[in-house]
Amino acid sequence: MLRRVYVWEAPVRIFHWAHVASIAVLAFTGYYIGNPFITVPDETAQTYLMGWMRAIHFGAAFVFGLGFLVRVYWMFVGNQYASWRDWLPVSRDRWGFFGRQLKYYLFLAKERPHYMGHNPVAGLSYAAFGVMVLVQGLTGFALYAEPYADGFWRAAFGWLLTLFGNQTLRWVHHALMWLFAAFFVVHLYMAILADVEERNAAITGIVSGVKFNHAPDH
Amino acid sequence: MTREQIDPLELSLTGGEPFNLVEALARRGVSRREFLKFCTIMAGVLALPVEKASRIARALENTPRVPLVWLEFQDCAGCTESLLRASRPTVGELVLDVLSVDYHETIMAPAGEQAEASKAATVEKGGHIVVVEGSIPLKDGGLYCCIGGKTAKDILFETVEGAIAVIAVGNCAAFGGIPAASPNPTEAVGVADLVKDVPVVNLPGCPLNVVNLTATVVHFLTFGSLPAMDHLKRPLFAYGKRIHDNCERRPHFDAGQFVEEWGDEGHRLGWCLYKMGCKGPETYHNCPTVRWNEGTSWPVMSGHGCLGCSEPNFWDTMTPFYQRLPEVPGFGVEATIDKVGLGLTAVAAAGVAAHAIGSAVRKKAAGASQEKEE
Repeated sequence: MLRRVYVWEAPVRIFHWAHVASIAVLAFTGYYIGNPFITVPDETAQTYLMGWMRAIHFGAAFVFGLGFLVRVYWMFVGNQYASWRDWLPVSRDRWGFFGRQLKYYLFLAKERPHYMGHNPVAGLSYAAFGVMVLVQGLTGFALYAEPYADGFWRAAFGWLLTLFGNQTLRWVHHALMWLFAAFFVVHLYMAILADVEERNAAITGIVSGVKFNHAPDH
Repeated sequence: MTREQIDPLELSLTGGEPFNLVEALARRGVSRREFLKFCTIMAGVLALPVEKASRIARALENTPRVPLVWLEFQDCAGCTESLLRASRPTVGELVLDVLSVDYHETIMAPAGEQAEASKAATVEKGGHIVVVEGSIPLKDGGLYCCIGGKTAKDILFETVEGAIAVIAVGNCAAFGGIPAASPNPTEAVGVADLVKDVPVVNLPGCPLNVVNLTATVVHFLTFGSLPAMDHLKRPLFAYGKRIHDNCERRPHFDAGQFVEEWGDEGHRLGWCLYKMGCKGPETYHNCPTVRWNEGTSWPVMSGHGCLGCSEPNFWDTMTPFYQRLPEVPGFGVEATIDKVGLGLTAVAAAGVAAHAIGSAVRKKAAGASQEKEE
């Protein structure tokens, strides 16, 4: 019997799409900032392309950073599917399913386990994604702090500049952008695969919040 | 950045014969008018209101002579060259000379034991300022830099004894500089790594801009204190602003107008050197405002990117000088981060495609076995 279950609460969904949009904008503008591939031959006083790219990049960075903070907060106050326990396979139960799910992905098992929230392998990949967001946010805001000789930004993130130096920070910030691109490819495929194989509205679920339960448990 | 203000230091230098700077300068052909112009320039460099120029003039006229001992260790004498750069001596240089310099290995007349004796006499009296050029090697007991049978480290500690302040000029003395670049074969360090009980001022740059040294000394003589400094012990008047934020090419950066190749159309039009690896966005220094060689020009003005020479370990952290980003280690000489990143994404896409085919095959096989069972 198909049962409708409200899995993804509004903050989780808003976080998801805020991150989709901000990462897309950040990757494009960030790539331009790292390697300005468009040169504007017009009158200098009439153009502000790099200026806009940076302004948009910084604006999107705040959406990205705040979205991350909201999601971390919601881990502790949201429903069971939003919990950090859905990301890290720490319980013996989740760990067992982690093995089964991984075997299924590697064509070593025929049966696809069913879950209402994240499957344990996907959950762990989101934990890794969280680390990527954290590092990207720290390196990004450290670079944002660079023009400030003192004040809030320098106090909050300047220590990273002292510790690692600008070149390393920019290198990591740039390299992680490509990891986000690779993550996007795999994430999109996995979502489509889950939607097709589990037929539980994995894709529409992140819009409506509702998934279908047609398995007896989990 | 924490603003580190050194407590005002008492000028206890009243000993010695009475000294009149203006008269001493006049003997060298510097008119009072030129002297006042110099004081105004110093007020500008120190970011003081122009009225302070008269206070500087009064202070310099009445100040007792502060002896200055200039030491050279692992260096190229480039900072000394910077001090002597002009085709004719400038007023600032003369002020520094008549006011201060007692001992300078490269330019003083005495040599050998005579020179050492004059240094010893100055140090014995105390109350002097020590200027250090070049880094200090520590490996193997510091034997990689010895002068008169003593290691650089010993000479440094001997000379700063009783000194009011130590001014580390150039990147080598401030942060270890080029001798400290990886793999740092002599374990070279900067002055502030060793000297802890005498205030240290860092005036990095490769070379030092002598305007900043003169201004630091003038600040000290006028106010009796060292200037406010940043977390790297660099005076804020000279290192408080980013090159990028004061650069005359900045409008081209904001507009999106970049030099792509040396000598191209953009280069001839004076566009931004960002894509040529300019490190102006990472570097704090007053080059765009005070410039070099009596305000003639500075690297970016002449069409070359900034190398970041006033930042710690610039030889390691600002390279490659002519690229925005370092290469990816372990991927060969020409592997840029974008090539590797694009490759990674392509591998992910290929893996996904292969997995999709595998999943389709599995589904078909499962369907076939189900049909069989039926």
